[in-house]
Amino acid sequence: MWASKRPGPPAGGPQKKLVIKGLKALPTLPLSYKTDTLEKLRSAVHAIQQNQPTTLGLEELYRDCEGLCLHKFASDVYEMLQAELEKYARQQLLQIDRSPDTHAPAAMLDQTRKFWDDYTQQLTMVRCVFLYLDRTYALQTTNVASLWAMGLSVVRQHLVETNMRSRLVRLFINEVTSERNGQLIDRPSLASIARMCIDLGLYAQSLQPSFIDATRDYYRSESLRMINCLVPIKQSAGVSAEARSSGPTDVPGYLTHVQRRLDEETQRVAQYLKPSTKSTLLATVLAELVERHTEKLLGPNFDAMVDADMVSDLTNLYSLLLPVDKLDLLQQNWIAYIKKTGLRMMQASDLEATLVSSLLAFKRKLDNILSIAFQNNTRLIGALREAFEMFINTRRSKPVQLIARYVDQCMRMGSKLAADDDIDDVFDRIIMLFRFIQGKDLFEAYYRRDLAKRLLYNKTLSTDTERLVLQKLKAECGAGYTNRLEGMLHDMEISLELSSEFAQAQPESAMSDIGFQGSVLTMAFWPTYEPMELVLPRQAEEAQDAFTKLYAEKHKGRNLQWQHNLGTCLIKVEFNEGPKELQLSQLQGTIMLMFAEQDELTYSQIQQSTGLENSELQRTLQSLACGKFRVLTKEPKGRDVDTSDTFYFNAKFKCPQARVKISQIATKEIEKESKELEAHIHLDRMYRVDAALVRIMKARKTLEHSDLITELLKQLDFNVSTTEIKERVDTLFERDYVRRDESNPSTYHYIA
Amino acid sequence: MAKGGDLQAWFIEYQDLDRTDGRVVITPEGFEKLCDALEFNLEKIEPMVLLWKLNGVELGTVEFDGWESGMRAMNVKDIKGLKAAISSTVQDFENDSVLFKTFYRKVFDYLRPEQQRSVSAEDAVAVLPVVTGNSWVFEKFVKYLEANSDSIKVISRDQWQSLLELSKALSPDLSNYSNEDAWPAMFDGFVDWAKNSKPEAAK
Repeated sequence: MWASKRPGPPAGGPQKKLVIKGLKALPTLPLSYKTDTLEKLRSAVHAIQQNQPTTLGLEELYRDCEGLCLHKFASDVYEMLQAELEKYARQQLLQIDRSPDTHAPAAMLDQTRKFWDDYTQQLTMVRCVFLYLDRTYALQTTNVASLWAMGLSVVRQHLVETNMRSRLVRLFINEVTSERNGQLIDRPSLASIARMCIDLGLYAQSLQPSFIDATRDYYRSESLRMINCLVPIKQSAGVSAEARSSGPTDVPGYLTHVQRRLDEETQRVAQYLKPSTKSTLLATVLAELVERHTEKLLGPNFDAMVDADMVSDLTNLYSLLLPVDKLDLLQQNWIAYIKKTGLRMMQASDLEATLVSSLLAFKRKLDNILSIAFQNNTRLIGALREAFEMFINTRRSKPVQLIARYVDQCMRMGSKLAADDDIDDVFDRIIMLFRFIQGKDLFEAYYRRDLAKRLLYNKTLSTDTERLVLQKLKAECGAGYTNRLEGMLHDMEISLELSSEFAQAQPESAMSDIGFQGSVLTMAFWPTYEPMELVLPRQAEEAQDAFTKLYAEKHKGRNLQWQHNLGTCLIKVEFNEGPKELQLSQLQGTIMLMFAEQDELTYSQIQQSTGLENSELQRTLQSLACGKFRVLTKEPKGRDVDTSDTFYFNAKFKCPQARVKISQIATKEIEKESKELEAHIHLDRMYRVDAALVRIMKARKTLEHSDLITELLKQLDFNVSTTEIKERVDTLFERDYVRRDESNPSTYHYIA
Repeated sequence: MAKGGDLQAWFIEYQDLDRTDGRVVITPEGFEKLCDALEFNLEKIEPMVLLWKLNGVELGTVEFDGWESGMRAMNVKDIKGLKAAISSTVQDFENDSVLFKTFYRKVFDYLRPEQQRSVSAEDAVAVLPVVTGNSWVFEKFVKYLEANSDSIKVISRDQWQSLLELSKALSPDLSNYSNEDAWPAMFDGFVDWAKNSKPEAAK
């Protein structure tokens, strides 16, 4: 007994000292202490489990527990606790398990959920009460789990030992399947179950694997079902079908469906699964819906989608094939489609008129798909290039010719370019096409010929545009490529200056009747023109001579050779109807002027005066007397000109316009020109092949035939057949540049 | 035993003595006479082999130096010996392909006009059968030249020489020829033509 402090004497008396005496006898525990206290605690636990208030206060229970622990009865408490929890859990769970599946299966899940919620709450409470036990005994003793862990393992044990675990998993998955089939389910419930599994350590071992397996099976059969009744794509571009997983659908619809499923599954994870499941889940879905059936999604369906510009569906396709690593297959289809479509374009019967614009449109469409749907994937861009190079060059020199013509038409006045077209963009696109063609040397030859015509007949849209295009060509092929072309432009500039100088330098009288403008062309830059004999009208000749004189004074040592077939003139002629201005070639003009003095002239007279040879003269007279605008008439009548014909000035000539252009060139001429051009280029190329062969043999001294061919083809930028190469090698033999090896005739030796 | 003097006397029998340029030669007339004496048929291979062995300078033309060294090399002193030597050479061609190759290549130079580098197709057509009698490739090639006489006018040295190789390499069904090989370009056309005219060959 502790000495208690007696109330002291009333104030005024003397202070007494406190004395503490030791215990005479040590206190002992009552014998039933342990059992009684355990029993108290047990009831408390029951009360908690039945959601009833405890008879004793929680504080007191805490102290009871503490007391038992201090008296070294901790293990008893723990065992009691464990037994009670086990008993309770078992009882509850067995109850739940009894309700059969057929009864609203979700009910069982719901009950489990309820149990779990309650149980965890109770466990929390229990833990609070028995906190001292938790913090001392459980913590400090190995092999003794914390109260919380113990509480959980009790439940887990039960679930595992009975079949309840698999039943729960099965029911869980059934719910998922229902939801996938479109029904509404109790998501929070499933979330709780999932959390329960996580807490119980059953998620990764049981729930997730089964879930994934079920997912796989579900989507495998769904995809098979849908793929087997895929219908072809209808060419109603831009409309992607809303796919139900039951009815037949086309590929775009299927793709949309897949995206929808992926979204759903992502949602599912967010709502009631562990986040770590997401990647496996999505991979499984993709594997079943996409990877398995990639071939069916590509092939003719792919072609149809590209044809119809179904960009959003292609975007879908790409984003689905990317994670399953099937871009190789996509690339194959992409190349095949481009080659097939391109080749078809090249074989089209109305090739001439439409090829270039079709190709430009085609490229534009493909570029669009590449940038939007395929995210500018470098391999697909490379594939496009490869395919274009392949099909564009299947018609030998046709593409070159047609692209050159297209460019020419764009550059002329009244060109097909609309006023608001971005010129820079248009030519950039043309250059992209140009990049693919072989035989760029032929293109330069065509371009030069067309540029010459544009410049000399003043047909060009603008010099700035000409320079712009040359710049682009230069960027594409190097400075050497545009040398001559730039020289031509420069020549025209200089000529302009020269002409105004000339005009000012002339004395008033002589040149007042006619205006004369000369263009000086540097021979090396311009196409080759055949020189032609022509006797000019006197005034023209005088002007020409004066110009030549002026030029000679400025540039000593340079010779001018006048090209009569390039000149043009403007002549005012009085017809009955009134005066008209005729825009004519120099040849035509010379002949017309003869009729200024005379009304009638024979063929031979004209020939004598002009000095023209037959084919030129006939062609010119034909254009004046037998074409659309007949400023002359011919006897006898007819389309062709004979040497015995007579020509008359046609005073009755009528025409609504005041200025009339009479063209000279017939289409036959243009074709002939093209053939000549190509022959010239071909010759040029053979020389280049010779030079390359000699160069290679000189460097390598001894070379196998096949190696020589390989090396040669590397150095040339145009196509040449093996036969042509062998022909060139033959000439090397002739010229003693090489000889064959005695023992191995397919090896060549360079003869130094 | 063939003394210089004997050879010279023998040479004079066929020498062209009407010359004004002082050259000591046997010309085609004399050569023909020699072939007569040897009983060689001018349409067969022996005269050509004779010319070669006597180091002829061009068709039917033999200079004395060539005559002399040729006779000595063959160890021949009379008509009989000469005839035997030539016949034996012709026989040797059967087994010695190198020997034949040397001869065959020389024939090209005999056919070639002095200033030119090639042989006319006409001459080739006339001479090839004589020189390469029993080879089917040469036979066919000659037919090819005849069929294309307006487009193929000359045979180059490389084509001539390669023809011999072709005759050894080409299979009768023409299956082992490829345009990608190093054969002269003309042979591509030849083989194509041969493939298309095969039914004829089945005679």
